[in-house]
Amino acid sequence: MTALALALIVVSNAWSRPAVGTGVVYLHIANRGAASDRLDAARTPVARTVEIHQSMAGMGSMNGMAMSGVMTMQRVPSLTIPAHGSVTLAPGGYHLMAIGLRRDLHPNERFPVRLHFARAGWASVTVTVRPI
Amino acid sequence: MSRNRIAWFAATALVLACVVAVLARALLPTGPAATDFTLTDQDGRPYTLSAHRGHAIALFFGYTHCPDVCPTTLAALARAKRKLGPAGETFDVVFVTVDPARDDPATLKRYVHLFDPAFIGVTGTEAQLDPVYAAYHIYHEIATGSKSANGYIVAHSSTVQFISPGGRLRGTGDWSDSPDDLAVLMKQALS
Repeated sequence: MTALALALIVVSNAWSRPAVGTGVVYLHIANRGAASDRLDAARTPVARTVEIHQSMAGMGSMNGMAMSGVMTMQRVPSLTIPAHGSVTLAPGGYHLMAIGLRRDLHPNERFPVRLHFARAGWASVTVTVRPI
Repeated sequence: MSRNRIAWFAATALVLACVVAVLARALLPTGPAATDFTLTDQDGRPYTLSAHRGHAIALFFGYTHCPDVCPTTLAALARAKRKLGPAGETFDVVFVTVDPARDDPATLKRYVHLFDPAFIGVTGTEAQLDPVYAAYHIYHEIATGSKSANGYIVAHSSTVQFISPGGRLRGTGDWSDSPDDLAVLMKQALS
């Protein structure tokens, strides 16, 4: 059951940015199954904890001047991967936030991340810190 | 028309073209003066903007606990700088923190140097930073609503501002610009 379920979720293109303290993971998740699934947790040995976040553009105002392009983030508890669909975690949108990095992340280095899906269980992926 | 006269006309035309070009350069708008400031750099030394006349500057505001938008911008700026070739070497990228409570000089140094060893990271007291945010129209607000192990989030303007070697604001971009677009803005600031 687990092995079959795992094959239905395919994680690819995992990459990251150089970081100090708080890192990021971007990746592509494809769901080949006939039922939707949900990414609800992730872990990596390089960080204390991993959360799912979403960046958003909003509005701000200062000294009587309104401005767009104010970037903020919010934590999301889980991410639904529709049946026969896919979700891309990418700059400016959904991303995994690796919090409490045990070391700085340098360009070109690699580290493992495990993702947990409500139906498919755990999936592992190797993340590459993209060179500048 | 004698050959001499043609040469004379050509020389006059060239001189006139040069005069027009110089006048146009002097008369066309060059952008408002970039507001000067003194903050503290990644080595704990004073960083005064006007002390770097002769270098073009890209000014970006962010914080090291920002894993998505800020590294995306810094990586794109580093790539844009490289696209300029030798001209890029005199282009200073200055990262001003919007999170002085967590971004001390040592942390900023580790962070910006992961992107480019020539990048500059600056911080200061809130009293020093607030007028800089105001002068460059940088909105920032600590958002504590989102319960995260990362602590608070700082919502902030994601603009990149380009300053000419003469200290004039010559362009603005933002975090979503491609390295190619940022390189165009850098060239504009250098022109």
